Parts: sequence; C-alpha cells; structure tokens
Amino acid sequence: MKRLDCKGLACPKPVILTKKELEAMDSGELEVVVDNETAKENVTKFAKSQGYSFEYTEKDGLYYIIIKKVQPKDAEECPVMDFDVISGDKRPVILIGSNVLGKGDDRLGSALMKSYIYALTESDVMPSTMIFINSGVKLTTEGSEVIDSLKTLESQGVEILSCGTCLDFYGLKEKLLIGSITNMYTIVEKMNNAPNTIKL
Amino acid sequence: MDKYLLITFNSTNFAMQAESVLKELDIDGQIVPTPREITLSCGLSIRTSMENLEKVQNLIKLGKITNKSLYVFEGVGKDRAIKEI
Repeated sequence: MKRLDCKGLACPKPVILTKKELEAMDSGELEVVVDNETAKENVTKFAKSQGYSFEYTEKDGLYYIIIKKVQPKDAEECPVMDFDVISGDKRPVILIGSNVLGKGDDRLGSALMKSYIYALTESDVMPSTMIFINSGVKLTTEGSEVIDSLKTLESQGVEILSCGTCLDFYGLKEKLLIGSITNMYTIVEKMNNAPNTIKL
Repeated sequence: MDKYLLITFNSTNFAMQAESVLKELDIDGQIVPTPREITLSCGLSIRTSMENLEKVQNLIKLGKITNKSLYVFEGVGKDRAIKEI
C-alpha cells in the first residue's frame, strides 16, 4: 500500500497531494497521514466527492486515512458522480435573493443590480448557474430591465434558474422570460455542489 | 461592429435621473458600470445605441440630462476604441 505523509503540511496541500497520488494510481489503496482534524476532513471529503471509499483511524493525534481506488468493472459499478466534480468545474454559483443590490435606497439598489449584471457579461469568469429567489425573480420575468444582459449570459452557457415558489408568490409564473423554473431541492444541490456560491 | 454610445456623469443621482428621462421618452438606455479606462471610481454610466446620439445631445442641450462626458465605444475587450465627443 502506498503511503503519503502529509504531517505538518498546511491546507490545502494534503488534498492536492492526495489528488495527485490517486490520479497516478490505477487502483489500490493509499494511506494518507495527516496531523489535524481539518486536514482529515478535507481529505475524506475529497475522497467522497470522487466516489472513493475510505476509512480512517486516529492514533496519537495522527489520522491514518486509507482510501480505496477501485477500477470500475462496468458502468453499473461506476459511482454516480456529480458533473461539476468530474469536470473540475471551478465556476461559482450566484444566488440572487433580491431585485436590488445591497441594502439601502432601492432606486440605487436597482441601478447597482443592472450595473452588476452588465459587468458580469463582460467578466472572464462566468458563473455556472445563476439562481433567482424571492424578489430576485423580478429580474427574470416581464418588466425586467436586465433581460438583455441575462440573455447574453445564457448564450455564454450560464444556467438561469428561477425559484418556482417565488414566481408563484409574486404572480409571475406565466411571465418568465428566461431560463427555467426550479425548486428548493435543486437550489440546495446546485449550491452544495458548487466550489463557491456568491450570494447577492 | 459593436459600436455604442456611453454617457458618463458626475454623480450617481444624475445617472439614475438620466435613466428615467430616457425611459420616459422610450429611448433605450442601459445602466452599466463606468469602464476602468475612463474612471477608477465606482460609477454608473448609461450605454445606448449610436442612433440615439442626436436625441441624447438634444436632451443634454435642453438640460434634461446632466452629464459629464459622451463617448463612442467601438469593439469589445481590450482592443476596443474609446473616443470622447
């Protein structure tokens, strides 16, 4: 069994080394030794996200994590993995919880939101998904003043999702102009699977 | 190809006011952040199509829009050309 000594290494070194080591292996077991709980959490979380099974033991303040990499025999044995994890998608998810940006004057907030979404269209890094909740759904429905910017974003591969409960609450369900309707389970999933979620 | 007009302002309030003036007259105008090439401060500008140049200049003359400068943008990204008019 291969052994990887990550004692004394600062975050995120242990995860990076584990990833490298596992990628180089065809199959088999890898023992990773770390000296703090955070590192143990990070390494096991990583193993889990990649569909590897693992177990760990703690001894004298050290954690011995054994990760098993199994070569899948057929498609059925291949664990269901999230697309974002496989592709190493680094794009953030943006959650827009209001039709205005920031707290304070709503006229200013509305202007800032337009400015923000426009600037996003010119950004090098695009979000994978934009989720609109509560009065945020006013931005994806009739009367929205940012629809052109959102269309630009959508054409560049950004997924636009509006909360169904919220559309219903504001009576906007029939007035959706862009993207699709989603529910809270999808919202939770999208955010939990994203490397980073930005809440506005 | 991508040619448009950008109106800049001395204050956020003037920008928001100009936005509502254009809206009332059904002239397209989009609030955008002021590009860094023009000012480093966080400011709001209005982007509109070239065809509205005369209308905008007229509104400025009439004092309906209080602006700082007027620019023509051509192209996108780093290679874009900016010309003040």
